[in-house]
Amino acid sequence: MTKRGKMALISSALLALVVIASSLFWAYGTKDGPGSEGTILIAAIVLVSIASVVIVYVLKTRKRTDEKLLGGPFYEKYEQVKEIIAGSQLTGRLKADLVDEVLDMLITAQRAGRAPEDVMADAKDFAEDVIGSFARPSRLALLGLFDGAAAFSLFVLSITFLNWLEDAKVGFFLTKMDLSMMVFVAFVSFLLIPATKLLARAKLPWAYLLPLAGGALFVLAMEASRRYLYDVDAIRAFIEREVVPIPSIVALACYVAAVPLLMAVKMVLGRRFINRA
Amino acid sequence: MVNDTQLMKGILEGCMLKVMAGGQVYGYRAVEILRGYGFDVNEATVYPILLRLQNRGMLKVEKRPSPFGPDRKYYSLTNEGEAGLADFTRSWSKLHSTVSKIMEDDQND
Repeated sequence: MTKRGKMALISSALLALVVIASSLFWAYGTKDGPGSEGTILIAAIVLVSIASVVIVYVLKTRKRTDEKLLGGPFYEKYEQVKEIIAGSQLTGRLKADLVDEVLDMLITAQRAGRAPEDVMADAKDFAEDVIGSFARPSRLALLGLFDGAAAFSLFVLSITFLNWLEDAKVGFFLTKMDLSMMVFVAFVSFLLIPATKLLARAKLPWAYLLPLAGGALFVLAMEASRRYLYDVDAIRAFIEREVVPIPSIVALACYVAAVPLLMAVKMVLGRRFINRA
Repeated sequence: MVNDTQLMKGILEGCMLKVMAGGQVYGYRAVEILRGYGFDVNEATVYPILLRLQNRGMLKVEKRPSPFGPDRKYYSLTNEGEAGLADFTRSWSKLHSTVSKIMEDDQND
């Protein structure tokens, strides 16, 4: 496994541990215990967390037959280019095409006895050059906003659902969420995830730890604000205020419809933005 | 060897069209041909140029099975590519003769 793969695996394992630990703390930290519904929920969370680590491991170690032809340094270059192309806003088919071409190029160069550095000095520059030959970076960044908005919708839906499960006696459309959590979700969707992708493109494999660090920082900041800045009216209001993110069936329909709608608009715009002969 | 500079990108595009005019060529072979003429280029330079020319409709692509690895793309000129090559040839001849005149003029020493 390459260094990038190891970092991704460590990051996913840490994230899974944090999720499992906080779920257990939430479930067994109360005097009543989790109850039968809570236990099922915890079991599901633990299972999904472990499965996510296994999936990352499989994705990072599994190689196609053709990919096995590449030796270590060539494979590292290939993996970095593949990851950047896969994380770009190009269409799925185009990405697959490009990755195949790069693979063929590197296999041929390796068989010809060329040095990896001679073929591709900087994998990141190369990948960005390749992506840039299809669309302007600003246009691709605009397409990325649609991903952020879709992620925001999904996060709000799933957090509201989990909050509702926590106390199902309260109607779903009355389920509240902390305002600070809404802000954090927006921060994660529109800034943290794109920043992680951007930094992981460069030779910064530690960037995979950013989501985890962001979560930890949020918890710390909230706790510190509660302890030291609670007297400040604006801070207290921010910490204590709750919102009902999905107040009606119409709002629920909007959140659910938002994801496919955003993806459809992104696809239409993508066809206009991305040149493909 | 000729140095790779920003200016070279445009020139390389013209030269690439000329290389492709000789028949179907795949990416790595194009690199070899250009290096053979003295261009200090590698795959990372040439490959994005091939994609740009393809996206502008100057190159067409045919995929064929490779002796190893995934299918290989063979590039060849389209009608637009032939027109682009003719344009480049005219522009280059004019530029070359103008620059040569300046360089060879003793008054500029």
